[in-house]
Amino acid sequence: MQLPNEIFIPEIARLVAEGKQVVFTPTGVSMRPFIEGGVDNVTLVQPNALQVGDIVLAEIQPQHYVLHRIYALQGDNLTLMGDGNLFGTEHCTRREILAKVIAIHSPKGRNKPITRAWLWRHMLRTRRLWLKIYRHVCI
Amino acid sequence: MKVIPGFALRPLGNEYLLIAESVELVNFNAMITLNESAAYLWRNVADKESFDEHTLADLLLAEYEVSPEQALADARKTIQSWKEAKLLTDL
Repeated sequence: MQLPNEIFIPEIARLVAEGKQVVFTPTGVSMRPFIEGGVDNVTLVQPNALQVGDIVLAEIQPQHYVLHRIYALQGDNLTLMGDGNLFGTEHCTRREILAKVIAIHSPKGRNKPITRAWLWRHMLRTRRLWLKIYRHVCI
Repeated sequence: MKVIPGFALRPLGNEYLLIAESVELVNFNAMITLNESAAYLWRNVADKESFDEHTLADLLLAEYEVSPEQALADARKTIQSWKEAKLLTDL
């Protein structure tokens, strides 16, 4: 999920580093079907105890931020991918992970379940079809 | 009127962010940006039990070289925008 408000992200990162929980609404469609950009809110905390399947806010290049899921983790190196993307991954180190998502809130006040999306991560080949169904049924 | 408690003023570049903030949680969905003069006004009324457009106009006159008429007009405009952003309460 591309975050257009680059100026806000360093502030968000700073507050998270201070130990605060930060709520904001990400934009974009790259985390469908788990996060609907511009609609759902996410709560971010310090990125401790990272695991494959966590959704993280990362600075993958200077001032270029994504809110994507960890698809692989080897020592200090992480591979990220948007759940709504059909291809394309990002690579970064733990140092570039600014925050971790601990809650996703839909506008109706319900919390979406936080999942590591094991099944979704392993069905890349049929993802295009499922995303198409999601767009028709849920949007 | 007075300001609704729970907002923190944070500098960001040439402007200021007014963010809903508690000890543990910062909500970027409840946020507006303020320019330098609006931030100055906010800082000076945030702890006041009550203020009105004349309070803001007096603050502007004390800090900036403006006419009383211009200060009052700016004060009214500021209060209007704060009301629209739901930052004020009449209680």
